[in-house]
Amino acid sequence: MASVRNKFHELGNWHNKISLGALVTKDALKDKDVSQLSSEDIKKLFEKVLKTLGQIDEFIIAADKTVDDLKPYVYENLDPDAEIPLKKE
Amino acid sequence: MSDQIGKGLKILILDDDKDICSFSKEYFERRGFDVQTTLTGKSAINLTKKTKPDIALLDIHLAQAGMTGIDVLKSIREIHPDCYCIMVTRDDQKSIEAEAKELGASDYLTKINTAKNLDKVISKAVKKIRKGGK
Repeated sequence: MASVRNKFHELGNWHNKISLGALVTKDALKDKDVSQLSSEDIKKLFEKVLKTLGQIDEFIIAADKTVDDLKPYVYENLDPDAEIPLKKE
Repeated sequence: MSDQIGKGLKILILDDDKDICSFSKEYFERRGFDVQTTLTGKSAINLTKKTKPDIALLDIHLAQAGMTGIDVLKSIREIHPDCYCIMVTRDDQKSIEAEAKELGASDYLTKINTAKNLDKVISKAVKKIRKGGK
């Protein structure tokens, strides 16, 4: 398993991709007057937005997996409720 | 932010993640920039020699062994000193940020807040470039 640092780095990367994906999706839709677009352009816009939303969905799943990978590091070393280090036998 | 804030400006994006490159290209093209993206430090240096970008957005942590964004920054400073170099860092890299600043990085973008701060950092860069500073 990768180091905790690498796992946090990985999590930051997924977050960054989700955030940028949302930004470009917002950009794609911003100030669009659908009534002025041809049906072909609307179709392209939908396809583009759906593609990016699909990617964002994949990134969220990947980020969740990374969080799951990180959980043992926390739970094996920290009481998750009291938020204090666990005593090692 | 003006939709065409980057008109007439060239930007180079270095990130070892193709999705980040693709999203960044889309973001900057929409704002009128002439965009080049690359996944490796070596290629970023070659592109700088060839195209002399006005702005370089450099990810510090690269997966490619032996070369970091800091190494690329050093080379760009030699090849093209007028380039406005923005280092993309992480929250826990304070010492690297300090090193980048010493080496002449123009600004920083924290990865965790990239989308939130991108407009702000880019507006600042464009203003400085248009006024003739780096």
